[in-house]
Amino acid sequence: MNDRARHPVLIAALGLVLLAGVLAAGVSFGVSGLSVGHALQLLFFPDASPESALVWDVRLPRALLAMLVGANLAIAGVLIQTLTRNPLASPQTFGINAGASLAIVACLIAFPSLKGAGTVGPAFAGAAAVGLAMWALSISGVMNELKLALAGVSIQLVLSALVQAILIANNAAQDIVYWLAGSLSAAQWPKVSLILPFTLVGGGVALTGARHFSVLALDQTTGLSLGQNAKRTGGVAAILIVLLAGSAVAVCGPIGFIGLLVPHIVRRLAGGDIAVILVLSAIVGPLLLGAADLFGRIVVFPAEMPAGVVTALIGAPAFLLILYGKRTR
Amino acid sequence: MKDAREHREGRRAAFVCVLILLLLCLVSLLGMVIGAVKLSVGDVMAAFGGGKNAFIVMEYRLPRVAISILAGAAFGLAGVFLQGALRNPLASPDVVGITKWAGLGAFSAGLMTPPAWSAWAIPLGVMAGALFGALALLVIGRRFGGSTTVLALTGVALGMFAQALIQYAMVLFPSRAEQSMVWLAGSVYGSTGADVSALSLWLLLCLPFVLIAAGRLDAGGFGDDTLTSIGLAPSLLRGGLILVSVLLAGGAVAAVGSMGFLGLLAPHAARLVVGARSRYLIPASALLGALALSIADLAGRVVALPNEIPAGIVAAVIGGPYLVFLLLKEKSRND
Repeated sequence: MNDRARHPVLIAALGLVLLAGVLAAGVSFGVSGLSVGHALQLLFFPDASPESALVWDVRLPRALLAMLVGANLAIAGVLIQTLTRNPLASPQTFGINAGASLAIVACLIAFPSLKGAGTVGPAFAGAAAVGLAMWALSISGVMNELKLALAGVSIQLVLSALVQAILIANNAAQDIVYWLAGSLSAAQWPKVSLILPFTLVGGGVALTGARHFSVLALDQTTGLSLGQNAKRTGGVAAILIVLLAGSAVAVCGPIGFIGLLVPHIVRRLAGGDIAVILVLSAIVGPLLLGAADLFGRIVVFPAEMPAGVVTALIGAPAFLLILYGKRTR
Repeated sequence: MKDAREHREGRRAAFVCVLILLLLCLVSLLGMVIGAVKLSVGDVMAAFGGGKNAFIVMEYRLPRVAISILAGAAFGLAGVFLQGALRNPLASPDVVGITKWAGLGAFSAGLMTPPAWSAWAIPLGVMAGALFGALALLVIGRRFGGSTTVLALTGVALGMFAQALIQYAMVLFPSRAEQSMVWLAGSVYGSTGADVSALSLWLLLCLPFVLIAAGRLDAGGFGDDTLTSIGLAPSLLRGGLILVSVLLAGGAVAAVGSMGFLGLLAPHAARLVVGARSRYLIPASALLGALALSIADLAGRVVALPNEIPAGIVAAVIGGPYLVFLLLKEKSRND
C-alpha cells in the first residue's frame, strides 16, 4: 500500500469526538437558538421549561435518527460492496432504497391507516425484491461491474419515477420532494425506537460475522473452494442489507450516497480489514448524515434542505471520483 | 444485385416509416378525443371549423398533441446524433444527463431574470445548461478513458448532480417549486399554441444543421484513424454531431422539460426496424420518438383519472427497463 499512517483506534476516537460535536450542534441549533452550553445542560439535566422540551422531544430524536440511519446505510454499503465486489454498489445505486420506498408509498396509498411500524414490512419486501433482481443480474455473469452499476441506477430511476407517479395520481404532490430526497424533519422518538433494533442487530451480526465476510471479498475461485460456507455467508449479508436499508428508508425515505461513500472513505483511512471497516463505517456514516442534516438546516435557515439533497450534492461528485479510481486501477 | 437489394431495403424502410406514421396519426387522434370531456372523432373534426368544442380542441388538445410530436421527434433525433457521434449506444441526451442540465439552466434563468424576460431568457438558459452538461461529460468522460459504460455512468452521475441542484433550488425558492417540477420530470401539460410555434421555429432553424449532420452520421461510425485517412477531421465531425444533438435536445427540453429515456429508446427501436443506415435510421428515430412521447402522454392522461401523470414520468417507467435490457443483451465486453 503506502506509508499512510493507519491507526483505526485513533480514527475512531476522532470520529466519536466529531460525532459528539455534531450532536451538540444538532440539539442547540434551530429557530429558537440555544447556546451550546445551555442546550447541553438541558440535555443532561432536563427541567420543565419549553426549551428543555424542545431539546428532548424535537432536536435530540432528530439528531439520533440521523445517526442511526447513517449507521444503517453505511454498514449496508460495506456489506453490499463486499458481497458484490463492486466499488460502485450501494443500497441506493443498486435500487434497493428505491424499491423500499416504492413499496412503502404503494402500501401507504392502499392502506392509509398504515403507521410507523407498519411501513417496515413493505420496506423489507421492496428492498428484498430489488436486491434479488440485482443479485440475479450479478451472478448471471452477463454484466461487468460497471454495467451492473448502470443497470442498478436505471432501476433506481424507474422506481423513483413510479413513486412520483403514485404520489401524483393520489394528489400527494407536495410529498414528492420529501419522499424522493429523504428528509429527517419529521423525526420523533417512535421513529428512533423503530430503527434502533435493526441498527443494533444488523450492526452486531455484521461485526460478529466480519471474519466470514472477509471470505466474500476474496476472488470467486477461492470463494468457491470454500464452498457452502461462502454461500451461507452471502445469504446472511444479503438479509442484513435488506434489514438495514429497508428500516432506514422506512423512517426517513431514500437517502442516497451515504452507503456508497462511507466504505470508500473508511478504506482510504484505515485499510482493508473488514471488521475495522465495519466499526469505522458505523462511526463515519452517522457523522456524515448528521453533518448533512445539520448543514441542510443551517444553509437555508429558517427553511430546510432535505438531508437527501445535501448528500446527493456531495455524493454525485464523489461517485465520479470512485469511477475515476476504478479506471486508473 | 447490390442495387436490387438496396432497393428492397429502401422500400422496406419506407414501408415501416409509413406504418409508424399511421400509428402516430392514430395516437394523435386518440389524444384529441380522450380527456375530461369525451369527444367523438366527428366532434373533433367539427371543432376544427369552430363550434362548441373548438376551444377545448384548438386551445388545449391540439397544442398538446402537436408539442408531443415535435418534442418527441427532437429527442429521437438528438439521441441518434449523440449515439453516432460518441459511437456509444448508451449515449443519449437523457441518459448522460444533458437534459437535466438543460432543465437546471432553464430554472436558473427563470430565477435570475424578471418574469417579463422569460420568453427569451429561459431558452437561453436551457441551451447554456445543455452545452455545459455536454462539455462536462466530454471533458470528464475523456479523462476516464471513455469506454461505453464509463461514459454513461459519468453522465448519470452528472445528471444526478444537476437534479440535486434543481431540488436544492426548489427548496430555496418554494414559490417556483410548482413550475420546476416540469424541469425535473417533463410534461406536455398546458402547452399552448405559442409553445408549438416556438418549437416549430426552432426545429426549422435547426433543419439545415440536421441535414448536414444526417449526411455525416454514417461516417461517425468509423474510427478516428479511418476518418483522418478519408480526409475528415474526427474532432470536428464528432463535435458538430454533438452540437446538433444538444441544440435539438435543448429545444425539446425548453418546450416540455427533461423527459427520461426517450432519446435512448427511439434510436434503438429504429435500428431494430429499419437497420443502421442513417438515411433510414434518422427519419425512423424521429417518428418513433414522436410516437413514444405521444403514447407516454396518452397513457399518463388515462391511467390515473382524474389526475394526470406527467409524460416524462411515464417515459422513464417505459424507458428504464429498456436500458437494463440493452445492458443484458450486449455481450459483456470488458470495458
